[in-house]
Amino acid sequence: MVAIVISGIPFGMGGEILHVEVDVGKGLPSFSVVGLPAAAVQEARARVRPALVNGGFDFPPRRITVNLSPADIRKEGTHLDLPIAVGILAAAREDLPMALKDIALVGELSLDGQLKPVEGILSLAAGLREKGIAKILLPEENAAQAALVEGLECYPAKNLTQAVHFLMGRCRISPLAGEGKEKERFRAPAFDFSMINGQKEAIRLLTIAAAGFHSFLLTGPPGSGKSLLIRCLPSILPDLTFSQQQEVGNLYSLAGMSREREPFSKRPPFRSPHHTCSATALVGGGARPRPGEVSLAHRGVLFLDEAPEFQRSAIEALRQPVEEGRVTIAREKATLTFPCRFLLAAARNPCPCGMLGQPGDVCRCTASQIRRYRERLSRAITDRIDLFLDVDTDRRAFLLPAEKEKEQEEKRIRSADLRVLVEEARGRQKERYKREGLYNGFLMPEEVEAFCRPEPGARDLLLQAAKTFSMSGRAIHRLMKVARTIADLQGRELTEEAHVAEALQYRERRQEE
Amino acid sequence: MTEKKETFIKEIGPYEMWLSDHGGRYIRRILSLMKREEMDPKGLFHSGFFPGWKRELKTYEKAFEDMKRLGIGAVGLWEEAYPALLREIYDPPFLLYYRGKLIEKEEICFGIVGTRRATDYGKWAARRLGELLGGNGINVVSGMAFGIDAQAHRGALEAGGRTTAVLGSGPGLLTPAANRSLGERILESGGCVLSECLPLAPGLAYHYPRRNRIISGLCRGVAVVEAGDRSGAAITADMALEQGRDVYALPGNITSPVSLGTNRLIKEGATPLVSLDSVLWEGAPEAAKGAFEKKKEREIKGLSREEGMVYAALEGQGADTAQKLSLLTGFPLSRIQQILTVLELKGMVLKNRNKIIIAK
Repeated sequence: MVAIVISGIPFGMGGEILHVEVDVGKGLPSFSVVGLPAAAVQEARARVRPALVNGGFDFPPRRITVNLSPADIRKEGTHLDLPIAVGILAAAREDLPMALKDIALVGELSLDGQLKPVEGILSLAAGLREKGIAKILLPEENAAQAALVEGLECYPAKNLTQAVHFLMGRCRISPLAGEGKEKERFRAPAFDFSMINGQKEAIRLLTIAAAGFHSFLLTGPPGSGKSLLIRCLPSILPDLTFSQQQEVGNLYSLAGMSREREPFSKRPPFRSPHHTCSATALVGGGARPRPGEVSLAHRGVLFLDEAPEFQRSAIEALRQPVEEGRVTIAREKATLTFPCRFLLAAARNPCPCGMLGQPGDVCRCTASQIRRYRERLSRAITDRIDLFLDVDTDRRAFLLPAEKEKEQEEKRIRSADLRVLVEEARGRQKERYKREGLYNGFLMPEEVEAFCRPEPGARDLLLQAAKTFSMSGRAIHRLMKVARTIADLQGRELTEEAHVAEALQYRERRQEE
Repeated sequence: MTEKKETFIKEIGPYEMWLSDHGGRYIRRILSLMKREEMDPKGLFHSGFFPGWKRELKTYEKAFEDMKRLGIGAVGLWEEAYPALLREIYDPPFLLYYRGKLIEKEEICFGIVGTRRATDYGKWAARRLGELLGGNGINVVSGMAFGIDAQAHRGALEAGGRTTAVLGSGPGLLTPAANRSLGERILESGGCVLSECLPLAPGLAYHYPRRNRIISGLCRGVAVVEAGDRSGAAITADMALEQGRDVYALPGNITSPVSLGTNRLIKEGATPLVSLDSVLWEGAPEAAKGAFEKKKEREIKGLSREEGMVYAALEGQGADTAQKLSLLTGFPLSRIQQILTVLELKGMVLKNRNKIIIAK
């Protein structure tokens, strides 16, 4: 007789319904799985048999055929153990009637019949809900995360026995729905601007970047605090909204990295891939496309330390993601689009050895070496960066005499204060654009024209500057966006001369030698 | 004598270029032979005095074509238009290839040379010097290299003055390539780019020390802004001394490696640039000097009170950061940045990495 169990497979940003059909028939005892199972699914055979036996059931000594339908999509992952095991029982034991019509089953089995958590549960659950599934039976550890999906009843089970008893109606499991939202433990961000000596210019720049989601590039010698400054950036970013949390959680889940991030974290993600990272790891890819670092940094910060050391191909691949806020990956099996609205934070040294301009003339790099080093960050990417700044160690701010130290302590900038400013500025943008998650940094040219027009005095200044500093059209648009954010930080309706003038200090400067 | 030289060029055609490329040794020999009228120069070539000349002939025919195509002129040692001061040196180039407007007879030239790895201080001084000289009708001569040279040219261009770049490559290539746009600006402004190398000769390392003798040779005086202990700029200064030119050196911090050369020059008797206008030596028109000072005053007067405060704070320090300016003036950082933009637009300050430098 044939039993059909509902399960799912992750697919792109969501999931697909999968029917696990099990036939237990006459013939020599055998156990085969068909329907494009990947290695991990094939191995389910070896896990399911002892799990059933150790869970207190018999394993039928008959000819068992499992078909995974639709049969043309490749099935990966270990979450099909539970539906296969339940399917075998349902097909072989007519004395164990189970209600399998409207509930999806997901879970990995251990040999003793315990249910173990699986990767990618959030996107899978969201996908199933979208396809009309309202109930899901799943491992206990995964339940809280799946419960983030609206309208989905999640039944957490400890082991196979409990799952079977529940399906037969012999025991009750109280469903989890919409819970877990409030569970996040408050954790103070590890880095705070109050840790930094001086560097007021850079902190101002980071505040502007955070308020308007402007990408930026810091240039400075090693040890000048570039990385520390950028690591402090998350401390002034506002919390994510609930739908954003879901979106981000979903991407982590898809990438098989939900352990990297607390599922309900309100904090925007911060990713800093190493410079040896490949283009695929950065933007996403693989035979079954997975989100890359750009998508993992969605709604948060993507920090490229030592940016010129990244492979050329990796940097070039950033174009579309930075421009469009999403990345489309085409592979043999599927063409998928992942969102990636991130704040690009890049840092580099002023020259290959890093000591250019430091006292004592320690830098021995030649002019052409420096030029080559700088050109490694191609136009393709610097054209998409809004803010540029050179930083240097603020030596005066170190080892102050005791009485000055105290004075300095009071003047230190605290992240909490800046975060209030950033939140206000973002609030104003939200009001203006009437769209969640759209900030000045993401505006398209026509939107810049519509929203960021400077008032007449400021316009004259901008035109004069554009001429004097020979700025391109794109550079002028970038400047208008930055000026708009500075105005937002100040709570002004119009982009005034003062805002444009400040924004001009963060323009890209050609190195004059 | 003049007649003899003219016959020489008419009869021999392009061969003399071959001579100039092979350095002064042959040229001096020829000149001395010619002076004593012991030998007909034409016979000199045909006699096989210079082995391999036939092979070279093609190269020079091509050079002529290049000159026509690129609008490059050439002036010979025997010609009236040849820079007079240069002719006086020990080993003047036999031919000068040039683009733009060659130095005129009554024009006064002054050289500004220095290291390629200049500090902010050196760059500031070079630019100011270029401006000061250019603004006073003096032709600023330098080598268009990175650092000091480029700043000197830029200063002269900004003051609307004449400037001449002496290259280590042929004038058809504006080298170094990264300064090509600077070279173009020099030509557009009515300046000059010249060299003793063939029009499209690459800038080889050994050309440069010889190039330096032309810089000092063209000039009444040479200012060395920053130079390492044994740098090309120091060599230029030595040559200038040999050629009997005035040598000025910018005193520097004794801990700065790029001031070692200039400080040593001062010890050896070069005039220290105690103030930048000390380069405007006696010969410079006094009226022009006064005009420059007035211009400067006027410019400072054109600033608003706040701009003036920031500018004054900068002037006290020479080079500094926006953060320090905010501390000194009491303005918030964002206000400082706004004022800096205005000052930058007025051409009063420059930003180099995180340091702000006075430009005027």
